[in-house]
Amino acid sequence: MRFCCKFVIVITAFFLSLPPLMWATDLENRVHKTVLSNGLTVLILERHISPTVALYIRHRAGAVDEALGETGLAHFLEHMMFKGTTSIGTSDYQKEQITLRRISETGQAIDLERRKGIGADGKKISEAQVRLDSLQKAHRKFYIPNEIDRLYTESGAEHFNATTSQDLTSYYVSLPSNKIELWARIEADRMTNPVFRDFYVERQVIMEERRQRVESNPSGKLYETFMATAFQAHPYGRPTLGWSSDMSYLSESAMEEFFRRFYAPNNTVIAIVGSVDAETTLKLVKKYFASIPSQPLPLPPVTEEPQQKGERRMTLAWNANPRLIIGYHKPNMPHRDDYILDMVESILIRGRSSRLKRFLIQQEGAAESIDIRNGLPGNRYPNLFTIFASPKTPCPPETLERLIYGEIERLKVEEVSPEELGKTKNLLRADYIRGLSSNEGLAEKLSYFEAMTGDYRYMTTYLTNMDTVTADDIRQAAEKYLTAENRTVGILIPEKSDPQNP
Amino acid sequence: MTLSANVTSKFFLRFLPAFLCLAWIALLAFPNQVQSASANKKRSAEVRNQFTSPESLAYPVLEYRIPEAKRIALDNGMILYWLGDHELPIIRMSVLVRTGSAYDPPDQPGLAELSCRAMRTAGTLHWRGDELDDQLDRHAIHISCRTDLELVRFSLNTLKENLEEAVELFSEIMTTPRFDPKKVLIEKELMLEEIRRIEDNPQEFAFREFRKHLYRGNPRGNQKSIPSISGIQVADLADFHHEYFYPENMMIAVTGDISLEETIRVLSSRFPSPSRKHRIAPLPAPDLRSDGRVIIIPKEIPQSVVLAGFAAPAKNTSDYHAFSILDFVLGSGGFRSRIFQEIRNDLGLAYSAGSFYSARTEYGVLSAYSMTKTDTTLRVLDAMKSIITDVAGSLLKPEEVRWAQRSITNNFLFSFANAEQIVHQQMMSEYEGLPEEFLIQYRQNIQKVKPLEIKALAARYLRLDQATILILGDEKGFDHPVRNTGAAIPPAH
Repeated sequence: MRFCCKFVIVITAFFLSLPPLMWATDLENRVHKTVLSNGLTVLILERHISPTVALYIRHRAGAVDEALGETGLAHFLEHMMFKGTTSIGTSDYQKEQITLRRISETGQAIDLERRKGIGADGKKISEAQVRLDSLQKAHRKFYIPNEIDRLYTESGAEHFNATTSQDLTSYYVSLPSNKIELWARIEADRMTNPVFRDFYVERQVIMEERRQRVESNPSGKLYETFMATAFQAHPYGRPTLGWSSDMSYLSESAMEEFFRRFYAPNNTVIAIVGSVDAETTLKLVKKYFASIPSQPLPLPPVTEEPQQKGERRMTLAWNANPRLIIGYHKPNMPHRDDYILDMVESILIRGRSSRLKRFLIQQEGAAESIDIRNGLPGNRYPNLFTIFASPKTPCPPETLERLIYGEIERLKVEEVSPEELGKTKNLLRADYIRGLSSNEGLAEKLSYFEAMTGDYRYMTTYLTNMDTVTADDIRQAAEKYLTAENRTVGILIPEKSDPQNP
Repeated sequence: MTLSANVTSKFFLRFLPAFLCLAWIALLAFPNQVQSASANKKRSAEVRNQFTSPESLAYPVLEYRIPEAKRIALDNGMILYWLGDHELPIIRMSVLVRTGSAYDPPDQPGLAELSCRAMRTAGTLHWRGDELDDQLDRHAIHISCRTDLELVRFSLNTLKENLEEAVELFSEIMTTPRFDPKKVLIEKELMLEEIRRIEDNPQEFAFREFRKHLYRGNPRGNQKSIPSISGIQVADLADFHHEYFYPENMMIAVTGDISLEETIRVLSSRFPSPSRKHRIAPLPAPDLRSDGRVIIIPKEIPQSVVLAGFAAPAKNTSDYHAFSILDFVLGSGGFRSRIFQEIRNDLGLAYSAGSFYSARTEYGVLSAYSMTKTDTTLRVLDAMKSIITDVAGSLLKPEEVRWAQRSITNNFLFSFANAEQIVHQQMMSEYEGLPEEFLIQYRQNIQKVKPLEIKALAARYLRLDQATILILGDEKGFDHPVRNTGAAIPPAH
């Protein structure tokens, strides 16, 4: 043995081979759900595998909630939530505030002048910029950057990160299980007293992020343009990162307003999974979060996407190999058709023997890759059954497109056999069980479904619901949703390689 | 909505190569500072109106013991690491084979990868490729392969109810691959298409060129290309398989809802020993010193990728721990690390910026990276150089070193958070030829490091005049022309 035997196995086995559906109900029974008096929903799941805990916070705040002209605000706010609070990241908040106010005034003045466009006074702007730079430097006297990160990292944090989507903004971290109070201390504080330091510097950082994910990235650019084509009215057509013009004018006041309205406890779900005691943990959460006042719930956006009544196509000329995206409008979860289309997704691409992978990649040699995501770009509102495909040289993208439609038509005329349906359900069952094997995975899913549907049991009832999907359901859903009039197609085609000789 | 959530993450980690995990073992016990009842009451009153300092928080004792995987030398010469985990009815197996793309013959870069992919997809003795896929999907068995520079890994994930079937197919894939020419051709064509598409993605493109230049003159720098893959024949794949896939050259990790006895039983006679054994020639260690001149890879994109690579200590040296701290402070320690904080937070010039340290058995590499818009490319390169010069020339602040030490040691338990990870750490430790005490003493060795030690290493290794520096970007739009350019290795296609 490579190690001396002073180590003892302490993994306690909770589950010994329960049948798969019992996993689901058992999970449901093991989640402690509490809604505090201020509306904060807390889910706690004990899982004593290692002395660690995964902690997830989800705010029902996303790109979909942004006002016109302020796209990218939710994501920018996410960045700014890392800049500290009134008590974390500052050596003297009272003094610091003075400089912060002056930075705000100068930054706003620059933005106002810039907004004049052609009529803007360039000299005024550059002078103000010089002032801004020196104020930002002066601010450094009071600012201790990245304190939140330091506190977490020093405690051994893992997976410390945040993400913004169309629907939600999420903050998560994993810690040694004795450090939960640090998390409560930091998170309750930044839900109450964040200070958006380095605002104008970070506004440049999000521009770099856009360059990296979209402007230098052919798949990113195609996806953004595709969504804008598929959704002509609904905010889902706007990118989560934001349009760069909007991003360059995002204001502190808009951010503060967004924060105040959307990060309220009654708009927030917390999930804690790991080696914790549920009762003690709930007490701790209450101690720190219960006194945060609730806010009037923000109103959802009114704009609905009108029904699409004809195919939409877009092309993107880019110096890269071709690829395509096809999307069909459909209802979001927990509508029954969403479950049925989940089944369609799996039949088409789950496993190497799935229909599209076998047909397009192995048999026809038309595709280098094929993938489907049922439910983009978000799930709070009607969304898209989305197919991503890359043709394999020398197959032209239009040929690949045609082959995909052929397989989709099959779904409408041939009933899926019991064997194939059974195989697919079995694949889903196995993947569900696999998904139970980490604190992070569990916390992520439980908090996601609770935030999205108001009931985390969407997850624990998922397999039961999928089991009810029949071959006839599939045929009907394909007929109803996977039609030419309902689809949007985006194709990236290589631009002329030599601009001198088009 | 399927159960995998799709989100855009704040940190762009996709391009980071897989780290060889640092392996640590220790018994952690934090001082018992549970406060008195009256102190608790006072604290609750304070929290209502304001938050007390996070530094004043006291935490309960964290006591735990890390289970140890059991190591067995099987009769056929394979080394088995096993650790039971009965939470879920899943069994995971992972076979490591000592080979990888660094072992490719000079005229056949990509051979290892194509062979491994074809082993998975081109059938076995008893099953044609499609039949095998049908079987696996019918039973929801996942089998995949991954080819790294100095390691090949075949992985299996199955529900317990399909264990026998799963192990049979898993072992057949590795012992009696069919290499059906039709299927091999499909894998070849897929690899060719992937190679074509590398240049579409700036980070992938930049890192490939970077590795080519970093490992110039060494097998590790020999990159697969369209001609090299096109020229590989089925017979070459069979030769590769014959050369490397035999029990003494393989290790297997097994975790999940399975006992040690059952593991040994289910593996017995699955991996027969060949009649003849081979001796695999060791890889030559690379000479990672370059000349500090900037290699430019032109691409018309609005954001440049800026990379700098340096020789670094090998894993099995006394310098490893100090250098790990150096890398943490320089750019891999998150927000507070120098490169991240200065280039992203202070200057606002990058979203992705940092460093990473890859320590292998015989050598190490430290890489620093930034991505910035075209017209601040050289400004960012200068900033990176200035940070590196500063770190190489002066003592790190004691609080910086302490922050790194505390972070690394406290994070340690996350490398042992489940059975699969534990077994992986132990097995990799042996695979990399590290001494037995390496894991147990890792934490102490990190704590022992002093700033002076780090300074000596930084001065020795962070030599800008010997660095490999590469920029992928739109040269015409750079803030100013690059003064000292190096010759780029031309592409193979």
